[in-house]
Amino acid sequence: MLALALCVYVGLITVWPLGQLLLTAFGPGDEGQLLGTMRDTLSARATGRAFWNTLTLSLVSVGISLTLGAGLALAVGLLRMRFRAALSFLILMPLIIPSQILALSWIELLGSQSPILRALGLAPAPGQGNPLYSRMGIALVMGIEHMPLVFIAIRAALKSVPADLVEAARIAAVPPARVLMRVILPLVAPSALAGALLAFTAAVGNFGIPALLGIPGRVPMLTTLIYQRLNGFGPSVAGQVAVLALILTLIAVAALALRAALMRQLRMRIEGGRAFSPSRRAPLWAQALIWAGVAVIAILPLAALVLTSLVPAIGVPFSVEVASLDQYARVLANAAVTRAFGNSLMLSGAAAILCVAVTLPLAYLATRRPSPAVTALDLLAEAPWVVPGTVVALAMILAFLPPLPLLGVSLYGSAAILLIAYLARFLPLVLRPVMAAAQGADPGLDEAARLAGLGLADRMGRIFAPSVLAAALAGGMLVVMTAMNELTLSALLWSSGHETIGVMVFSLQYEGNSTAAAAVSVLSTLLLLALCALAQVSLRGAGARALPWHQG
Amino acid sequence: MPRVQAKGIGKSFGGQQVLHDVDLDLPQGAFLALLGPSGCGKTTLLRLIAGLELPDAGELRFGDRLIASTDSFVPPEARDLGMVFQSYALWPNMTVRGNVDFALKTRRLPRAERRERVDEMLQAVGLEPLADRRPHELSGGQRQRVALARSLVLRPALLLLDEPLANLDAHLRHRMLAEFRRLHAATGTTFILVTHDQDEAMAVASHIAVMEGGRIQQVGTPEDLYRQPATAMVARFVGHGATLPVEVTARQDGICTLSLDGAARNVPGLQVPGRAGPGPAWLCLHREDLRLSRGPGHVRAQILSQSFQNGRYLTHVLPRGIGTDLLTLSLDHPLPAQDEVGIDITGGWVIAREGEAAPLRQPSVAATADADA
Ligand SMILES: Nc1ncnc2c1ncn2[C@@H]1O[C@H](COP(=O)(O)OP(=O)(O)O)[C@@H](O)[C@H]1O
Ligand SMILES: [Mg+2]
Repeated sequence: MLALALCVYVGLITVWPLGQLLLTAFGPGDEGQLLGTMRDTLSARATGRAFWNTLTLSLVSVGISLTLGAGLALAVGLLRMRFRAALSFLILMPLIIPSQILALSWIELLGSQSPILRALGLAPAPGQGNPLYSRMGIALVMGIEHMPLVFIAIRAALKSVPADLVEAARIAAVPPARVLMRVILPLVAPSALAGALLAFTAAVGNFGIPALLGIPGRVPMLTTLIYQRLNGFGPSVAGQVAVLALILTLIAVAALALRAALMRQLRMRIEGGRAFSPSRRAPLWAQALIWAGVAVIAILPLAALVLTSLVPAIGVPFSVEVASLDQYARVLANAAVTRAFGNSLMLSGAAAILCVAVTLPLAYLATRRPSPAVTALDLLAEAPWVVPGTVVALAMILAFLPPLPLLGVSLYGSAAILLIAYLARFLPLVLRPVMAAAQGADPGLDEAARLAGLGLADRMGRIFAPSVLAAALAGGMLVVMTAMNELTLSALLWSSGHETIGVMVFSLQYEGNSTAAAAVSVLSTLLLLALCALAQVSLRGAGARALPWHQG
Repeated sequence: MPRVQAKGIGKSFGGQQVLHDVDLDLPQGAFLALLGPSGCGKTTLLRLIAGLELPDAGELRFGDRLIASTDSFVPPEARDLGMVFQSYALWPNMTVRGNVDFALKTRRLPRAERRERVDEMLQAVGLEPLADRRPHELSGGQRQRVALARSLVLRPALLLLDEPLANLDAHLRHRMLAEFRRLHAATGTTFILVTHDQDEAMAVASHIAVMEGGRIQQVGTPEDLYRQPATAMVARFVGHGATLPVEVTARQDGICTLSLDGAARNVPGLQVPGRAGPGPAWLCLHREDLRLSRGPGHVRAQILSQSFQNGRYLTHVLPRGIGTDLLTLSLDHPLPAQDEVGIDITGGWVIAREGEAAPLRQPSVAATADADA
């Protein structure tokens, strides 16, 4: 019964929309020829250009992520220094900050109006345009945004390097540089590669950065091409964009499959034992270098964003005399902005609660009553998180734009389609930590309760739920933090009256009202940091470990 | 490295004192077993000698060279020693040959000489056919040999081994012990081997240091420890010994006259060699000091259990009214459980009883070693 209900749920919000997408992509062309849509789209010049941009810029961004992430992870992991926890948190900032806000803050940092570069006399001349509205700009900001994925992977690998291996080399009088090159790096290389492939997948599916940098810079990527086509021509181009979405999915899934294969192949069997901990104190110059790097990556752009939001009007250069909170007063008086905050909070909160409610029985069945059907369900539930967000949004449109059978109303244009998209896309954020906790818990507890005559509901509520509660709570928090600021889904699914914070930032910036966009971004970032703090103090143990910044 | 000398070494981790005032004096070419129950600080002492930990007090010398003290420190890479880790710590990304060759490569030796030394070492431990395998393709015993070869190829003056046999099965353990002895003799390197297994220590070592609770209880040759234990702990730990609480009534020429307490039958004139003056003492016994008595015996005891091993009946008995240690006799015939028997004591060693907390200091090993030689 329970399993059936879950099947219907996952089928409705995941399988059906993604299935629709496939059907549309493989559909006949205008004149009814076999796979016509696909042939037409694949032969279009715009498709080739977007594909090429997506592939090359993602690769360049991965290079940047890998360089920065590996450098920082090795420095933080191999050298002893103070404030390491604070440093790790700052390094993870680009991942926590939503991509449209990150893009915006870099725009403010490097633009001709830059409050920081102007003060240093380094800002580009006003007529010159922002250097970030370019291919390299997109790659750079995406590289920084996804750097923490590489950082986390390498940091974790470094923490599992057994101390004995390093000490054995040290006793044999092997010089430290060689120990690093020949002993430590080979051990962390597979993880670095895995982190890089994760960063690649994230870059391929990124929408916020190409949207804010690539649209004004006329650098189309697959995600923004889908957005612009749908925005410009409406549902008539559904077939075309479905093919684009399919390409996007294939790239992302190929990278993830490669990652899984590599992990199996390269995973070295390392004996356990005391984990390696750094004994070498970081020299002062190295500490200074690291902090300077982190300041540029994590602090300066946000500072530029904050300073921009304090400017009273667009075009006025920042100075202490003109600084005021006028922008904040203005955006808070704007009904659309306050509505967006209300919508985002409501939608993300509802999504979190529903995801937790669905996860508990699903994880219970998957770990305590495994069956092929439940395993398949578990895998299918992961799909909307694995494929790029733009693809999920498009699938939702294809599935829910036509009026619902029986009811005769279309969900498109209501808040419901946003909620369904959130439920599908963010379910894995709860499912993963809860599954991990459930697999770690002793199955004997459930069996003992069963022998003691407790019914299914009792066992789930009184035995299973408490054992995974911390993880579920952490997952729920993660859903709120991610959904509250997301843009990728709502950019395609919003409608007037149902704006989200992400859409608000995007459209204010798009209209050229960059100071208002900065103010809204600062407000939502503050809200996000408050949520992080709340999660930090309210979650402990297993729960806290699911929070992203605990992985550094 | 002429000899290893430790004086008053102390070490604590976060307020917990792990080593107390450790003294050690080890002659060149010795094979020392650091023996003690798990958690007594053996690994910590070994890591201090290796330079992987810093002492809080005391000093460590290799011959005339001051290696570590509270204000000087020679790093591990400059100590000219090798170490075999309990986990073996083989580098997983290198082959067997790569592991053995790795440190030599950084020494800028001519290629031909390097190759010769690696080949020679691989041959010495019987790993030549496996030279191109990776560590995860080897069995436990083979990994152990790689770890040995990797340390010995650098020709260190001192080799440290941390419970090298703990992960091997009993059969392999005996083979590896023989290997250690052979390599020790062939290389002339000083070996320090950590173990919690006294049989292992007795089987290989020229010297044994018994540790408990972060202190060295006694250092000596296996014979010293077996025949003349300095503390009750050593007496019980080495050679499956037992101790009985007794009174020394007189002592002359190293022979103590004892009276046995409690309900045990007082047989006047039980004379056993020992070091204790008149007063409370421990009588330290091994299996061969005990015989089934035809008469009443020195001690009455109740048979608890018997097991048949190597053609003899090992008989565990509980002495009546004296002490708490079980005694073990080796008999050629079975006896019914619960029977009461008399036991004659034909040997043993007597040490003072109240001095247990502050163990007797043995004369330095160097002196005993010279006497041996
Ligand atoms: N790095 C360390 N930090 C804290 N305590 C330690 C550390 N190393 C060892 N200890 C403690 O010191 C004591 C002795 O440990 P060890 O030398 O490993 O004993 P052994 O090798 O004899 O089993 C143990 O109680 C252990 O918990
Ligand atoms: Mg140990």
